[in-house]
Amino acid sequence: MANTVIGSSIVIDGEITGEEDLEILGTVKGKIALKENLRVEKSGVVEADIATTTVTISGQVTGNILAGDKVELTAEGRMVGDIKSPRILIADGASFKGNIDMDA
Amino acid sequence: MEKLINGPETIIGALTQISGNLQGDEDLRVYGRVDGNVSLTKTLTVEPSGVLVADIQVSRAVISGTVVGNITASDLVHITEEGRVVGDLRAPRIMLVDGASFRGNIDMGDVEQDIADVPRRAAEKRPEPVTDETPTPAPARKATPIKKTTPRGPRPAPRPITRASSASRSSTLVTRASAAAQAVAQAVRKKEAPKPKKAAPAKSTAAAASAKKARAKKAPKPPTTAGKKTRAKRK
Repeated sequence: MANTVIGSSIVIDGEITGEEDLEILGTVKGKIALKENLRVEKSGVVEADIATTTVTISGQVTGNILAGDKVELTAEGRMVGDIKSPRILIADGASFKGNIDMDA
Repeated sequence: MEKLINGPETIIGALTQISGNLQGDEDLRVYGRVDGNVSLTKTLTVEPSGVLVADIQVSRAVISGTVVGNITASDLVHITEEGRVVGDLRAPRIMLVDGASFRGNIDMGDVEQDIADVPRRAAEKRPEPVTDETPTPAPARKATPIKKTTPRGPRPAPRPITRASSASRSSTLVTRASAAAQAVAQAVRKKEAPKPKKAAPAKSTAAAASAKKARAKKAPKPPTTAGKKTRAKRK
């Protein structure tokens, strides 16, 4: 119950902030700020600037990501934007366009 | 349970805040906070920890948490005993449970037609209960004061009077008969009892005989009861 799930038919236009895991199967436009893990599932569409600890992308993300720990782009993941994170994983099959910064 | 039944469901966790517009075609369960507008084609459930500061358009809204804003539901709005709502409700079915907190207007749509029908139904139903109710309480009210006033008076005097003079004859007969039966029973026991106590049976039989005589004289009750009481007092 602690976790947040945005269902596949949900569209959120605004800002999501939280201190728990967030799972997105629907559409989020705006801004996401978490202190835990973000997972964008296959059906998920995110058009937002993201600031979290870890991000796992299996869906579609447009925006900049600032992650404290890790960003993982799976084989189904598609992303356009800049990533700033100490650990970045891009799996075979993933599509990505943007800038990567692993200094942080 | 509900999850399994309802299938897809969006959950806003207790530590999550959303500010903005939220719309969708599935159930939404809010443990956290949502500021903005919420429009769903399914059920919105605001759990006790949930806070919505939003205008809400849903099919069904079940509010156990806090909602500040207007709720428009195509089916129903249910504010549970833990629910707190400030805003206007608009739905054909609205449930406000005992313990729920609510401030605002309620619009249930075409209520005016229903209201027009209500007096007819009420008129059909009312006459029977009314006629039943009014006569029964009235005698009860009259009767109870009388009963109450008599015992309130000096107790020792009125009781013997009511029994002897005004009380129903059947009750006195019963008491007489029971007294006689007791006397006879005592006599029987004492006859069966060992011989040394011959004196006692003689007395009891004499008492029974006197009681029978008293009955024959038709002035039995007051003397016997008075005599017993005086004896008791002397003892």
